Amino acid sequence: MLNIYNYSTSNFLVKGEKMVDMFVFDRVLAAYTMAAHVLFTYWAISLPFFIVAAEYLGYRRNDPYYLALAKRFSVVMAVLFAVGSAIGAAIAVEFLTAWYKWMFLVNEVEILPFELEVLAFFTEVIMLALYLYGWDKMGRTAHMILGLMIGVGSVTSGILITIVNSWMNTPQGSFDVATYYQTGQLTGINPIAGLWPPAANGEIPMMMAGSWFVGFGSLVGYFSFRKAFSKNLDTYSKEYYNRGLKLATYLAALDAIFLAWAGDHAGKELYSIQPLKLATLEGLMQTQAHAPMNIGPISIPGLLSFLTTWNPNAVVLGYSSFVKSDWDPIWWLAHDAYDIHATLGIIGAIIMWILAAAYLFPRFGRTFSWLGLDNPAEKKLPLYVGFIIGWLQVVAWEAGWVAAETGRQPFVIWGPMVQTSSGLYMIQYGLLTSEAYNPNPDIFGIGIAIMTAIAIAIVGTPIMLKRLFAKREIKQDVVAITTSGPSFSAQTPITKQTNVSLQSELGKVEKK
Amino acid sequence: MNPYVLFFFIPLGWFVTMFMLEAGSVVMIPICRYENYRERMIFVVGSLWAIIATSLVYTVVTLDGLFAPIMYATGEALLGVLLALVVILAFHHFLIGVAEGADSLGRHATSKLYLTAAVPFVLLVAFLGNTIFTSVFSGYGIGLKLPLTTVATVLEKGDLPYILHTAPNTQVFYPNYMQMIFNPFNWVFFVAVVLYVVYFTVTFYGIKERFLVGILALTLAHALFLASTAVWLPIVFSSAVGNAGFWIYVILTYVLLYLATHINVPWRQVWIVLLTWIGAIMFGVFTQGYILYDTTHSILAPLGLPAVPASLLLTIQPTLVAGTVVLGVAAFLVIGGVSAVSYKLLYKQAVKRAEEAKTETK
Repeated sequence: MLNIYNYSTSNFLVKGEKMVDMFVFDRVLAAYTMAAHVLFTYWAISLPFFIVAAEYLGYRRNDPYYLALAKRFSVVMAVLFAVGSAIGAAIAVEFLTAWYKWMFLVNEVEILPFELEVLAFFTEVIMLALYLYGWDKMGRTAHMILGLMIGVGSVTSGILITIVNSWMNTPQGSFDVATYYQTGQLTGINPIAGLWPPAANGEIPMMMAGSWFVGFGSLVGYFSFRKAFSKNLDTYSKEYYNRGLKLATYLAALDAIFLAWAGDHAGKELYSIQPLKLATLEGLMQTQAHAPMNIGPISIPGLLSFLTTWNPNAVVLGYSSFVKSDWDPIWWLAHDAYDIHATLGIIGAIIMWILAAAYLFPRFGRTFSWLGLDNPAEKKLPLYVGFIIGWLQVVAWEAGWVAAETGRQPFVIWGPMVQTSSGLYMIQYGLLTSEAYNPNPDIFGIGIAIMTAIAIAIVGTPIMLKRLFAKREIKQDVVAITTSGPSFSAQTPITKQTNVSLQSELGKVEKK
Repeated sequence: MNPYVLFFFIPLGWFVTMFMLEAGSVVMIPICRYENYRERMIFVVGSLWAIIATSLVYTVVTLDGLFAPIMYATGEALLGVLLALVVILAFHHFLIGVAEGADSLGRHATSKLYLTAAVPFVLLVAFLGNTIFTSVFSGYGIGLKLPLTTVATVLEKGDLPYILHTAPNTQVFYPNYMQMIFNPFNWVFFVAVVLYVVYFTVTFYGIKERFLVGILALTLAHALFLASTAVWLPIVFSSAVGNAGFWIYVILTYVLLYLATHINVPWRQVWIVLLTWIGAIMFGVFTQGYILYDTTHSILAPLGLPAVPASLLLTIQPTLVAGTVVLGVAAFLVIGGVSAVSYKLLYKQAVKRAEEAKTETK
């Protein structure tokens, strides 16, 4: 397959026709795998809290629908966890192979968060197994604590992985970056300092608030879709989806408050510790006071200065203050992705607040009855909006990740900003992306195979979930919980006998 | 032997043991004639998802944490095998997962079909894992772009970061996949591993009807392990045969096979897992911490070194010390916690459910 290969240029010919640049391919492979992995992480981080909230409401209100939500979604959580973990393993191997030089430096300086993440991952696995199999084996409170512990494990995993990302943005403190930049000697290594790099102040809250919001938002999208588009829903399914929709909306609206603060805080942190990255994300070419916010064709004067400092006249550094070699060669991609991320996030937060207000304050809903807010779980317009905006949060999530990664270019490991004799600023970086990739063309063929396997996993997951629930209707679960309590097993086969009692219970509930 | 190098064999040995358990069960399920053993094999495969995933992650992170410079070997020489392993591992997980799902839904014929389809993937994973293992210790297929003494000096002085910084395109290793895969050591060792898996499976499930197969497999496995190391990895062979512990180990494997198949010895599964894990760690001890033995022995022996000491590849000291503490704690969680959960909850629950189902049918 490979005819010619040139290590110095990293280009090789496939079948003598088409040039493939391994610098591009390695990045595409990592981006693709990571994009697939983060698709599953927001569920891993948000679902445990949704499930435990449903379980709590189920017990408190003696409501079988909430318990059915908790039980059914705990199966979903387990399947998504398994697929997400498998893709995570693929990323780990890509780090060892396609990005081994970067991984070498991480191992020498910043491996501690990864090692601690193993503890968090194991906690998650143990708690997940205990939770799934502990429905009828322990007290309700103990069971809910186990569910929360899954969430704690997944959030901690997310935090620790994001810490490594923060370290790539601000490695100062964990080792002497300036000395490494000047001499190539790794000195002043402090693994403990690497546990909270400066960029973590902005990144960690953003990661937590963002993943919860996308998780709860996509649940709003799912339940809205079911309500808006499913034909001939029975009473059980309607009640089930209504509760899911309401709970997911409340959780998303609550988290949106945290998200609003986290987003604002992350911008201010960038202003003070990574002004070059801020300039990239905002597409700011010129250093200026009263800096505008550019969103697509719209430019709002002074807004960027105001949002980053609370002072509309503050000076914000643009590309003109930095040496040209440090400019992000794909700044336009980072900027556009950031615009999509921020716009969808802000719209999503506003919509969730409005929907939650309509549920919480009926008078507010009635005031806007022309928008269908007097009954948002039944009227088409709020359901359509919830469906679209809810699922668009996944796009916002991916766009945010693209902005964060492409906005760090051309460096894979950043460094301190220093002023040159010409007055311009430069970055004393740890590692350039162009130095970190693996030019070996063997990665190409197997990389395509990995990408195909991941695509199959992503497409196959909903199909597998659909098949898992194909013979398990909602009313079946609701009635089983009503008759037997929450102790019934998710895997209990429906026998003739239980089916008779199910029919009888169904009749009772329908009469009510 | 350097304690950090020895430490690595704890997760590696554990992963190898768990994978043997899985591989033996998956391969046996479609061909096993005895329903009672087959049923237990299905339960075991279903209970292993947590422990297999965690022990693999634990092994990879331990490798990262202890041996930072080994990234050059993984990225330059082992990349093809490692990446192929991930793809095959994905299909292996998928097929076993679907089989488990089908089984839990009562579709046993579909489950058997998927498990049969998983068999070649299980064997491929085992073979590729074996290939990485043998090539790291023997050096087959891992070529050096630079003179060995230069590489050793760079590693000894801790100058690899300097090389990365000043000449990032420097290549240290190069792969020779034909040699890596098609060398006799790899194949003979693989056959020995397969035979050991046969013994492991017979002992783990206490299959009395296959006692003789177990003895034959175990004897051949021991013979092939010894013969292959005698020819291609003499440092391991001479360490093993000169060590009384090894011979006690060999005797114990036979004793356990008899006890497991003829007398229902309590904690049968625990003993065979423990014995195999100890065996894998023993292999590590017998390497005396040297890698790339066959390909570097003739160059380094005149300099007073039998091969490349793995301790040259250790991570920088402060990171290494901090990381080892965390990895030690993780060992308790993965080897103790996850195993206990897998056994007490996943396995026991599956057995209980099956017994309840049988009672209902009666």
